[in-house]
Amino acid sequence: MENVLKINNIMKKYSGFTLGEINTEIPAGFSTALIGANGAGKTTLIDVICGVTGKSGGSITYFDRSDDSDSSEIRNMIGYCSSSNFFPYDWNLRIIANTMGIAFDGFSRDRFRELCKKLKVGDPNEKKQKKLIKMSDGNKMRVYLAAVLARDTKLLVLDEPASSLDPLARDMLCDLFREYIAGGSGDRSVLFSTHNIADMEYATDYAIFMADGKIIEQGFVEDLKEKYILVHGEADKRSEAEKLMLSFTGNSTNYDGIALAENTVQLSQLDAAVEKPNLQQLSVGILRKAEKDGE
Amino acid sequence: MENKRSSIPWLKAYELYTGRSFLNNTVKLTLFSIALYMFFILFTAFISGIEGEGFKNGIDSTANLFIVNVYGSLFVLMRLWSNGAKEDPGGKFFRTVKGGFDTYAKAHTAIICEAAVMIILFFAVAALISKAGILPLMYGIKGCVSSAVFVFLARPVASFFKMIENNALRSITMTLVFYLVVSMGTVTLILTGGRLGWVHVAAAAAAVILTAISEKVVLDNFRKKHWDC
Repeated sequence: MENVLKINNIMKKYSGFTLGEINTEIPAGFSTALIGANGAGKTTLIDVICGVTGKSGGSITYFDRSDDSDSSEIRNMIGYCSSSNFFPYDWNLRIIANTMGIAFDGFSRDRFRELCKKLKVGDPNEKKQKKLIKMSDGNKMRVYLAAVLARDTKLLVLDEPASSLDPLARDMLCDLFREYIAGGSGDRSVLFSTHNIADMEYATDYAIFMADGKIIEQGFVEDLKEKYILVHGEADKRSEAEKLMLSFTGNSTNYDGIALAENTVQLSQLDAAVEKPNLQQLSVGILRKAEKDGE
Repeated sequence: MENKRSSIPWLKAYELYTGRSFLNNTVKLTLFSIALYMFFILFTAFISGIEGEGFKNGIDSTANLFIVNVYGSLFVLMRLWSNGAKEDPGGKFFRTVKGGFDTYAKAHTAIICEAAVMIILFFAVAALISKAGILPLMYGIKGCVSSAVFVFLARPVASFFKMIENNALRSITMTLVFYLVVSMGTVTLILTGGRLGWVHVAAAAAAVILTAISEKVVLDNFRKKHWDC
């Protein structure tokens, strides 16, 4: 299996927003980040993939075998978690352990307990339980992650898992992703959305950039880093450099932005400093270009 | 979308959606309703006693038969208020569980059974308390039977109004319709001079038929407008 998901012409229409048409493939055995600004359509796409929201058109092939997100086989293979309100607020760890055991095949109560301890949110076997409503947003997310990671799945689909986590927990999340993928024999994958990729770069192999309900760029991170360059230069040659760049910001003394690597020689001739971007810089450049194109 | 069968039994579906076991939750909610009812009745009787009407007269009144209806139907109505929206806490989780909508439908059916058990238990206890002379109710056991029948009828009648899309309008309309039907339990007894008759038999039959119809209509509407969209 090369791709865990094949997304063909997916559309979802709301009043005031349309997702798609989306065409993409999520590679198996890797961690894929959906990157985009707020309102880009990341959550809608994730909801459509997981069957939380119906689609207006198109199809998705799951694990090369089915296009039915409603089948129990597919539901058992996908570990989904929303960015907030995933469980009712009056639930506690014990109730979550009980209900996850009913809701999905392959949920391990022992693994859940182990993850709860690792993520420091309590113990589902303890007599005294704390309700979710009394937990901070960060701890609620830790509980959601423990619940979803305690399942035996082939694909994790997580909506903004890092947004409410502190830097240490984000680091732990990256490790958990790596651990999860390594735990399979190349058949486990992760798809997560984020609008702040800085802390999640270590956990990202493949990136899909979204803006205004459409995919504007995608590829393996290492390939994207070869495709684009980060450019810095002095302000005196900014007008010539700007023509060669995809995204551009500058002031009276200097400028920077993203350009295609094929323009490296020309930009160097303009005394610009060229370097390999990290994913955060790449994201800012690509999303800034999309914003500019949309104006 | 085709109807997938859920492998989750309906009692487990109930536990999945409420987080608690059917027996445990139903008994707890019923006991809580009874405790609230007894507290309220004793409190009002105490106030009436102070005001010189006498303790027993304070309890044994038509008003208290209305009150028993309110407490006996409180959690039945509260379950109706829940609309299972995707945006509610747990809404997205429930949409991803195995069996999908069929699991939701089973939980929905289990909640009707919960309502039936709560109604029967609550009014049976209220009738026993009345019969024992602890908290005598006007029309005694007949009053409790009539109330139970009309609470059971009120649930499906009010549930049709779950199809109203506006949240505030839906809640207000459901509550008003629910208590209008519930109050008929007392009104019919007053009109028949405290006798159970054909009207109560008809109401019980209507409750069973309307429960089946409303379950089908309301679930189909919910699936079309809130689950598959």
